[in-house]
Amino acid sequence: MHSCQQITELVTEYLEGSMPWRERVKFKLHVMMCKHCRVYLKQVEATVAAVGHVPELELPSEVEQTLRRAFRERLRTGRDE
Amino acid sequence: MAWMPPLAGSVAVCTASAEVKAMAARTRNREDEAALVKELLAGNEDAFVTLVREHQRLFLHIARGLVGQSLAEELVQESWLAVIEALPRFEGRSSIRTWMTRILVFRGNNRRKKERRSIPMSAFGDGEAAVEPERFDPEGHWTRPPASWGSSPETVVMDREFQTLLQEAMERLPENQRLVLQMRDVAQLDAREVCDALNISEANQRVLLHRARSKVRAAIAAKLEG
Repeated sequence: MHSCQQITELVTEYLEGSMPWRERVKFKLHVMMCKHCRVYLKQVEATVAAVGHVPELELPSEVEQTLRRAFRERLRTGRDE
Repeated sequence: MAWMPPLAGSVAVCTASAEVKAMAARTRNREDEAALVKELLAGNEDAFVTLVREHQRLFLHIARGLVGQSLAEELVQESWLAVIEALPRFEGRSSIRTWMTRILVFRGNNRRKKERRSIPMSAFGDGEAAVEPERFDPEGHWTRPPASWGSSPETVVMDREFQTLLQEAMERLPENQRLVLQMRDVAQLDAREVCDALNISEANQRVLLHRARSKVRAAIAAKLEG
């Protein structure tokens, strides 16, 4: 049976789906029975989800103009293809 | 630990890896994504500029990790031009973010081969614990368990207030941990792609990802337990 400390180190392997079946069952059993580790797992999942939100960045004007121009040209000719 | 009946949340446990993927992908839902792609293919320049602004930070970070600071901006600019060129051929088999990141990583790797940049073995070095050892007793049970983030931890951390905290926590990560976190959890490349791009084993990739996620989680916890 895993200790809670071991669970915190196994979380990523579990979420990756790379655990052998037996290990996966042991992990799930622990989390089902242990409220603290259940909370911990949810927090890791929430962290992963939150990290996916990236704030916008203002671009330097020349960079933006260059990209706008290239986009305009490509998508115009693209439509003629 | 006393036996507790499974809570509603335990359903999430059973499908954890699928759940994580679904949650991470919620950055843009399917309808929004389809609408955006439609606008882009129709030549909507403002939609494209929004897309660039949304991803510039991420791409600069990944580029920095792949080819170093001085070449990062050039690589990103090149990649945007490549994205524009390839856009009419985008088929929507992955999200547009993942598709664009692959273009960046592909170009970045071509450069890496020329400059022979690789992740030093020392990056995988000595163990860093996911949680401070003082929070467990000698048998490994929690003595100071994680404080709850509320009934909906996901909503709490999506808050604007946390965006700065998250960005700062990510900035503080060792470069290679940040790079793997960005490629996996921000850009949603899969493990295999990241391993190929960085020329590391799956086990090493997992170690870097594990440490990065643990540290960011700890930073959020520190603020909420504050």
